[in-house]
Amino acid sequence: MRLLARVLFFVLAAGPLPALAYIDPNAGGLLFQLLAPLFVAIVGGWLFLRRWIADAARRLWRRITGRASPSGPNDEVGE
Amino acid sequence: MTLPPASLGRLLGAALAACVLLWLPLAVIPILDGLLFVASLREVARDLGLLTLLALVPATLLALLGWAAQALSGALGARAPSRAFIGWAVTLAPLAWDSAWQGVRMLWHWSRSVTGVEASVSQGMRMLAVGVLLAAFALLLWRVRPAPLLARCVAALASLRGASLAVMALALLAVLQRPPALLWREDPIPAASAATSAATTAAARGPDIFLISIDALAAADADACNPQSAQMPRLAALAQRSSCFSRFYAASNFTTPTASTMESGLLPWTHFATQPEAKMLDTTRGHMLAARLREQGWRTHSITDNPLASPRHRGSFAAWSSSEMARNTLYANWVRQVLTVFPDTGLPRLAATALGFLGAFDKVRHGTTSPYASERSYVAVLQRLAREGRSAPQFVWVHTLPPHSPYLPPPSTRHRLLPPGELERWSDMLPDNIEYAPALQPLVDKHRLRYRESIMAADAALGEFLDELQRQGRLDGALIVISADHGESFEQGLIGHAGPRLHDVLIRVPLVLKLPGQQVGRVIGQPVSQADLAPTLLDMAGAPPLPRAEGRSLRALLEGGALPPAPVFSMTMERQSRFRPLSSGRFAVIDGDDKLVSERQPGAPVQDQLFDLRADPGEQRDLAAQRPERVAALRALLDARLGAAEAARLAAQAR
Repeated sequence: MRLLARVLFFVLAAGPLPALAYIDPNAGGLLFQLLAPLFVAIVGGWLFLRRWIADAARRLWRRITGRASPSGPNDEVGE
Repeated sequence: MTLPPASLGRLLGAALAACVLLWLPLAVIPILDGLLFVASLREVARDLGLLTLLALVPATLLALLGWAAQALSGALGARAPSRAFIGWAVTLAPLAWDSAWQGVRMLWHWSRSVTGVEASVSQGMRMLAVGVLLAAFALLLWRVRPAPLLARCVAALASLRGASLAVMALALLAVLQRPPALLWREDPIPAASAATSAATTAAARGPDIFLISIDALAAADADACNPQSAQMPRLAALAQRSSCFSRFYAASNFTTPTASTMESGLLPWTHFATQPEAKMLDTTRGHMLAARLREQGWRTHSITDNPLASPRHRGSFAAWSSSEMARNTLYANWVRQVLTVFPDTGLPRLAATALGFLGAFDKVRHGTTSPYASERSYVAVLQRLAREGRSAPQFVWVHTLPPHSPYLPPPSTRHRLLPPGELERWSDMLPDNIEYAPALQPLVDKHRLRYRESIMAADAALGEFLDELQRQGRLDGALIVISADHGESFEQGLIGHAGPRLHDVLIRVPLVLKLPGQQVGRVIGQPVSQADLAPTLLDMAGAPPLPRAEGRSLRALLEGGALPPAPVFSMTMERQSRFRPLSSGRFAVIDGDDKLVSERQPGAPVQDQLFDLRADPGEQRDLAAQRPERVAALRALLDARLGAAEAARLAAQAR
């Protein structure tokens, strides 16, 4: 029970903490404010728009070359 | 969608993609601005490249763990789909957990930095937020079911294998453009050492020098110059036959800048190790106490359990015959310590950030016990001395963490001041280095009692170490210095240290200095600076001085004479980039009984406060309005020194 309580506490409290509790006041500046949403957009786009982007690329490939894409729709992973 | 078999290659590929493209970016993006304050773009690119390459280590370990788990489940009779599920889950779940936390942390910091809203979240609210997150995760599992969800993740990571390999290749290029130094060997001990006796060499060589610095030790709490010191009777006993400075001021309020000043005789506005993880400017690294002593024949050893106090951290590692990291029991610091094998990189900080969850784990794991014990560092010193022998003079700088927070003294001193039942566990303590509301002062006062109990334990360990030196016949003939890097605050709304404050308990620290053979003690009340330490030690050792030192030798005071008074400077410049004009920080000038505290921010008027330290040692009454001529004089002094520091910074940048 004690072990279970400890595990539960750890799970609930295990947010990342800086070692020695020194916080760099210069973290979280302008670069971070720009890059964080960009990273979220890239990850989100990859997660949710991958199929749409792949289809668009295939259509573009067909339009340029006049033939089917070398990879068929079923090759797409994660769908 | 079904899960592919959990082969070792597939597991490794997926773990590497998750590490390199998700976990590490989430950890690093929030601190990129801070990294670029203290290192050039090329250096940051190299450090990130190195971190990316080292991601192979956790990825491989997790893949092996997953592979072993699926093999074990197979041996226990699990069917193929279950085996695959177990293998993939064991490999990816830890990365998913930490990535989720890093992501939440990033979003939290982002919303705070963009909106400027400084919302404080209590532990209860934090638990509630985690509970909501777990509930959402459980709901997601219930809706999607674990196996298909895991299969989607695996397929998605498989599609990123090529991208992760491309990132690894870029990382390799970034490392190769500026290869890191590697420090994994120490200077060999001269062959004659072990065979030569102390008696035959004592007259022919300089004295052993022991610089003992105790982390976060405020002079007001140590009370070292008082023969009846309640907290540090052993140090006070040594002070009775030493020079004890009652007004010795640290150059800043946390370890990195102050340890750098102790070693170089330069103030933080010159060496620029002004952020926790910063290194000294390249141009100052040859300007070192240890380097000078080493040139004169001393063997030089640094031993510390605080990574921030190590020359492996501040970039001066080349000056030392050995730089050893004494053990403490924090997993988080263990990672940092191991990675100081790359001493000219920011890798320890980057890895500590990526593995931030270890901090929470350490806190729970330690319970009522401090992760730090001074004895471990002192034992390491004694072992080092035994290995070195006696032919060459030794310069040993040992820096020990206690009484640094958490204030969890060992049973030998616990409950001497604060009875049992309160502040017994690490989790009972207020967080380190935070501003607190006046209503919390009674609780903070109790923290101070536990802090003082921790000082008592540090003093007992120091006493045992000095006793052992005495037994070995090394004490009387040695030059002994006992001091601290900075103080510790339990007043004026700050608990801990660091940050923008410079009040007395943060910067006034003990200094006890015993010359070889000294038997008569004296108390010296003249204000002196941490920057004086290196010039003094070099002078007493007969070594050439450091040409650009901003301190001076205290020899005259140590020998019972007088030194003309000189102003003492202390500063905190955590928001000052080394690549931009010197315009941000808080600076203290102590001149006689007066202390000017000057706040400088770009685009804002200078804010000055003046205190009379004799009449108002608690710095409660600002006299700036009553004594404008004194403010103007001290401000002019400060402006002149800031101007010189800026000129030196520009010259360093031009090189």
